[in-house]
Amino acid sequence: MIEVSNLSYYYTKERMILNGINLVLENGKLYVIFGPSGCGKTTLLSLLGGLDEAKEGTIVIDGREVREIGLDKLRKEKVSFIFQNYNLIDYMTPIENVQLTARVDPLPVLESMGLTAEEAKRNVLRLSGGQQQRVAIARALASQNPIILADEPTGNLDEGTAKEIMGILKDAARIHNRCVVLVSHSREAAEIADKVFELKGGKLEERDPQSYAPPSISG
Amino acid sequence: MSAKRRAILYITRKKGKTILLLLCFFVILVLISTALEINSASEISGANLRKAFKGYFKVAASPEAETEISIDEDFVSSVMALGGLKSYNAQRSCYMTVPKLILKPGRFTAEGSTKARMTTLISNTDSSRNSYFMMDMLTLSEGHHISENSSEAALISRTLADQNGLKIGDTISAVITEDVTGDADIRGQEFSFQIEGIFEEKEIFQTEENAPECTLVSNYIFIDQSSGNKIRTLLDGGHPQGYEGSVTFFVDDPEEMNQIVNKLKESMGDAAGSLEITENNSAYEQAMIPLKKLSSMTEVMTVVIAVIGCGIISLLLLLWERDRIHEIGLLMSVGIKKSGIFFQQFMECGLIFAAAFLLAVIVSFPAARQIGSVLYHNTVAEAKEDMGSPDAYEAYQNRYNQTAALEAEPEFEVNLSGWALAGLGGIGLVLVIVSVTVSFAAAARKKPKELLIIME
Repeated sequence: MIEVSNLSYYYTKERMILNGINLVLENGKLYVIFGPSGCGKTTLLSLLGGLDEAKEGTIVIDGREVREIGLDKLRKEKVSFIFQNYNLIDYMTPIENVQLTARVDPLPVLESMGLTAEEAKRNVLRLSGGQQQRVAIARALASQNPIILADEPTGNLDEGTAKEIMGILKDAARIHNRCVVLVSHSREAAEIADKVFELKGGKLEERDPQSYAPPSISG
Repeated sequence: MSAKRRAILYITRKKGKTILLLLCFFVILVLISTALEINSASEISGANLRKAFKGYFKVAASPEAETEISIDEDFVSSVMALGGLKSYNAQRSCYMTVPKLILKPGRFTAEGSTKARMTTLISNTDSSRNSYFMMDMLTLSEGHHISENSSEAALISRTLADQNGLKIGDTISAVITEDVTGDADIRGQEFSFQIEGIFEEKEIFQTEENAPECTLVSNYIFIDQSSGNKIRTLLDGGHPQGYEGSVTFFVDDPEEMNQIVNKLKESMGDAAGSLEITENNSAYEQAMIPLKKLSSMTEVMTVVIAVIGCGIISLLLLLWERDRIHEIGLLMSVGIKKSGIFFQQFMECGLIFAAAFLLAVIVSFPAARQIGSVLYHNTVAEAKEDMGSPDAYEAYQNRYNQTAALEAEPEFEVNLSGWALAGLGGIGLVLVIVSVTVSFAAAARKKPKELLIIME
């Protein structure tokens, strides 16, 4: 569980990126954060994942404040990232990429993501975008870290592949009991979310997922 | 996954960069290794030269001194006690009559004087270090030189030996006569000597017309120090004067000459001004010129190559680091510390360096032999050309104050020494650490979030 209290981030006080955000995120659920470009979504994710430090406020993960845990340890043991650009190590195979953080045998995890044993031993650059993102998700799952933070994970994927990836993230939350926080512009994300938030003007407000879901085609 | 494994994966998968870095290291290490090996050979040759060359200084009482100093046995002992001195040669001379010897004729033979049987006896601590022998004016052709432990021993000339039918082992005698001293009490005292060596003269000695027999080198008799002291004591009325002329001290290591002379002056205090000290290291210094030039050249070469090499490697790694920002940000995002990432990059560089080191050592040794030989002979040729100048020629002349055996150039042979290897390894390690640190520094200063922004 993540508890965020009065979280603020700014470069100068006159320009608040995040302004007194309060949030509770639970395991087993998928949260989506929407907002216009440059509103601070990635900044919020960075603070949750220990890539940066808040100016004010606290982030408590499983009862311990992140400063107490230590940012390196937070990233190693509590949080896994999935990025829009996959961000795999280009001189490693999928198995080796997953081994960076894995606490379990990487091959079954990769196979559960739809990769074959042969594909798992290729250089990652020889995989498709969708396959690479699956490898990134496998890396997150194999680490067994309770929190998965995904920043526009389907931004570079076609619609079909994007849907598949969203499905995998949903399963990560529901089946693997992870707390998945997703930043996205994709309306499809709203369909799978347990909760939807909008970040605007430094403030985070909960929204009705239906207001973001793509309109249904009535026949 | 450990840093070591990540490093091995990187260098085996990024073959192009690995080979390029390997080549850079290889070239730098070959050049430095060659320089170090040549430098090491210069050091060894220099050490051998120091053993072979006889650097010495002469100490005499200054004729202009207000306070007279006696250069006697006590003085010699105090100088030898300073340390760093191999031996000394102290000389005394006196006129003695040799009634049973036919001398090379001179003025007194023509006059029919009893002085025709008078010659000069020169006593030495070590006759081989008498300046006549040191300057190659006389050479010992039979027997052996008189040493510090000799007693009642003599060297005579080939002329005297032939004229008198003398050989090694024969005995000659010298007597104090009225021609030698006015003291009647000591006249008639006879001293015997066994011939232990026969010397030849070079033709450089020109006999003046009407020269007294006792001034002709062919008539000189070199005797041992103990006999010389006894004779001198008698002739000086029981109170021998100091050694005449100068005492020559020979140093263990010509490089320490200045140090020892300074020590002597310090030990003498104010009395140092009463001494005339003449240093003669010129032959050693002359022979050392090419070696010192070579050593200096290789030291500069080592430093320059190391610095330039460091710059090149650092620049290369810095350029490549820009492409690795992605990787660094990603590794940090999965919880790997900056120190772990630095260690990975250090391992990458270090493993490539290790491979280059092995190759360089194998290649550099034959290269060093060739290059070292060419460089050495070039510097020797330059040194000999310099001898055309007046100062250098004077120094060259002074070489004849040293043993003639030093005509040959010192041996110069490049060998792979442990020190050269260790030096190479040390320089390489510093090169790796500096290069990796310089290239990693920029990324190390950034927060993970900043790296991620660059990544995207």
